[in-house]
Amino acid sequence: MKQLVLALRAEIKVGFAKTVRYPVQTLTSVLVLYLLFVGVFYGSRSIAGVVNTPSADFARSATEAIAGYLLWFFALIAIDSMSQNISEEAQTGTLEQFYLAGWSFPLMLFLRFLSSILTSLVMLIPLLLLLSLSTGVALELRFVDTLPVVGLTILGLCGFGYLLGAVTLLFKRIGNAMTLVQFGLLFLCLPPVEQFSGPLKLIALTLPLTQGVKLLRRVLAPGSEIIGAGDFLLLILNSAAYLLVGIAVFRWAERLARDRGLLGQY
Amino acid sequence: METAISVHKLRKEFRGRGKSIVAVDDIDFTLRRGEILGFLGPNGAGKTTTIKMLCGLVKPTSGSLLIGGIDPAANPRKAMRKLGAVLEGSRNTYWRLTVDENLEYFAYSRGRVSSDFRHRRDRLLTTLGLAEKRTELVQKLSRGMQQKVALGCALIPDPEILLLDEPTLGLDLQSSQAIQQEIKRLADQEGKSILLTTHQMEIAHALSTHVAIMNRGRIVVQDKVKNLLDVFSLGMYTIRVYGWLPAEERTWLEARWGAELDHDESGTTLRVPLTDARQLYLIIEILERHKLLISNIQRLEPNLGEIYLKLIEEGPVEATRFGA
Repeated sequence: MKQLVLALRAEIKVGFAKTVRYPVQTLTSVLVLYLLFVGVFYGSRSIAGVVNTPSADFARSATEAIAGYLLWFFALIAIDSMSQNISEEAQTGTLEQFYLAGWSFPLMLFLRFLSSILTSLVMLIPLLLLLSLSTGVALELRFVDTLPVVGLTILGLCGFGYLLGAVTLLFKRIGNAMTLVQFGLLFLCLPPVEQFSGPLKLIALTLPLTQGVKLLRRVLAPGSEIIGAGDFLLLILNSAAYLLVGIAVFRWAERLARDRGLLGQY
Repeated sequence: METAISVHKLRKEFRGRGKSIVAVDDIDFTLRRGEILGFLGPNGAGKTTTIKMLCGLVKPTSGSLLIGGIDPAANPRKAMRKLGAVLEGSRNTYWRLTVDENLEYFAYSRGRVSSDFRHRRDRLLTTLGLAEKRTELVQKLSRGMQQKVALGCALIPDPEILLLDEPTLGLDLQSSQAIQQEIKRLADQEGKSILLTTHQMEIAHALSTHVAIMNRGRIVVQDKVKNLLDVFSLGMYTIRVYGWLPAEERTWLEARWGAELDHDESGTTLRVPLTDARQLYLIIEILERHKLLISNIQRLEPNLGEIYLKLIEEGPVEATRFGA
């Protein structure tokens, strides 16, 4: 256990070192994420013709969008640390060393995902402040309610990351496909899922984010009610399913990659 | 002697779309503690696949391999703890981190941080000549320095066994020699077992205590370097004398001894293959008879490169020809 903590410490330290060492890149990322939100949120309102709505409606709509955006941000981290990272490390020639650490591959990836979540706070905090300031919405971050929802959703996203990681192990350069997944997720989790219909609704409902976004919107909404046990259980089931299936698929892909000699570019 | 790596009947067959390629064909070899095993062979011989199997990156089709007596398939964590690697074609380090950060990362990520970690890191930096570069980003260092950092990262968790794939490739002479000295020191003084892959035969010759030569997925020969040199010893001598031999003696030397004679302005060079060094006295007697002064006698030794080429061209050699 102690060795695992040391390994996590190593990942966190490297994550922070990279973030702090390249401040321009970090600031640019925050700015791009902010502008993307502004573009998507105000753009969709403009298209829907609901720019001039009463302030209460706007606050609710903005809070919902921020909740979706926050979890989408964590989905980006999952994709980045568990899929694109594998591809990058295979190309730069460090994947072999990552593997030589001797921990199980999924466990090492989980540590990296965890450290990425923690180091991403450097970007997330100013981003939330910017979003709050520009929309005029004061987010009620009630940690007792928010953290379990975010935490469980992140676990589901971790499973989703394993699924994408499995694809990366087998097919290597899938950067463009991952970009497509990222934006697909954004457009599926910003608007309330209840507004979708047909196959789009079905797709949205099966995403690892959907249940989390739904509950987080409820938690963050001004004067919100307590989440029901049923909803919470659904979130647990959704995340557990993604995590378990993700790990199983990743392990299968790892075995296949080892058998075919696909691990690492070396 | 304690066994560091033991490979038995190791085989890797890549199958796909009706085709099957045998990359490694039932090979056996052993690396013992404190030895440097030169793992040689032409491109495509199966060396890389073998190393990948040792690192756990490729799953063997059949056979067994033990790392420090541990089966990596059954206990990968324990087996990998014994292994450090600098792999060719890989950066092996994080270029966006400093030298210090890299060393710390590789020690911590393997959970190998003892109370004397700082002392050990400082000593390693000094030994590798990296102390002054410790706060610099790896991407800003020269190729030689980067290779030293890679070696440092492989060494910081204090593994018993090192896999070094072309560790001096692309380095200038000075950097190459510094790395070679360090490899030698690691085996001789720290008792590390080293599997060294290189195409630079003079480096393999200078560093290896043993060699295993691979070709087309099979090990052609595995033996001590010294034994190989003895077996392939040509027994060829060159004798340089001032003056010239009469035609009659020349003919006799060529016919009787298979000698080759070259004349130039200052004298004669004889190249004579002898099965017994004592036969030299007979040659000297002839030279003395004609009052030719000897300026030099030399026994020609084959080098590892020549032996390697011979083995690769001739194919597998029966193990019985060699000592253990």
